[in-house]
Amino acid sequence: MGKILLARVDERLIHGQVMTQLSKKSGANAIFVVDDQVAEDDFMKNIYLNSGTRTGLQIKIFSEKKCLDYWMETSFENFKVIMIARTIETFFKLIQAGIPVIELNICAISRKPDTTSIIKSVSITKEQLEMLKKLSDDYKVISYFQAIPSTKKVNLEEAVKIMG
Amino acid sequence: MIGCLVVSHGKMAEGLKESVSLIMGENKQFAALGFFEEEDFEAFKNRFYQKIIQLDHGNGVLVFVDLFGATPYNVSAMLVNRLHSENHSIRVVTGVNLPMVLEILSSRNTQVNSLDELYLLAMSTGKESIKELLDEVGLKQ
Repeated sequence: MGKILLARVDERLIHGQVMTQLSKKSGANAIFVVDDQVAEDDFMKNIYLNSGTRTGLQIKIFSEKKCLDYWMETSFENFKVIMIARTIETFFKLIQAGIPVIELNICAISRKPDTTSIIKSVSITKEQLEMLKKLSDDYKVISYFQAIPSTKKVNLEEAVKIMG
Repeated sequence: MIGCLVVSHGKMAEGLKESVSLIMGENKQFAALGFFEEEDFEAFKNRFYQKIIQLDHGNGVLVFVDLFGATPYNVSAMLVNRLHSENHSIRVVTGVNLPMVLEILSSRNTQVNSLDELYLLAMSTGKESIKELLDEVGLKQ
């Protein structure tokens, strides 16, 4: 059975930091990108597959549905996975559908209307905060906000305070 | 003339542009763009797109990015189809260094006039410019 070592919300999906740091430190042997838009876009899919391969890790790109199918069918084989999605909503769906996530690192979500900034690189809505609380209450998911390992880490409790 | 755009994480592109002007003075159709942590990804994509439009006077734009597979590279990929459909040609070379930018800025008006030749020159210059001192002077320990 496979294992998700780290789940990460990052609008940029696979990028420099993932390639250079995360892939080497975490003990992972695969990166799963879960994104409906990229999964349907052969050109961008290729870009991510191609550059990701340079990390030496196995790269897979799924739609939300395909990711769940793969989990049901294979339990992610023997992969030790860094799972990346663009939104909190994606993980909310995946976790409720049974994919086991222990830690959820909210890394980069840019500012939009009706969002509050939690750390420099992350702004979320009240609805998204509620999702994280539910994941914590019902699925024991530990969510935290952190851009890169060397920067400040904000936990869910502190985020709740910031959001007022 | 072919436009040149350097795109990096943080201030490196802007710094590289400054170094270029120190060495060869100001250049036309040459710009730098940085991606910063707090910036909206879509806003960055839009700034990137606008820069290309400004720099393309009909012969295309050579884009230099810092890292293969990182955000400036990925955003170029997201824009390339749209730009091509609007008749803006781009080529994107990764691993930008000062020698390749200097070479391109001084060659683009003269010997090399097509984007397809220019990006190859950028890549070969970039690679060939990496040397080691003791090896170069034959003082290998």
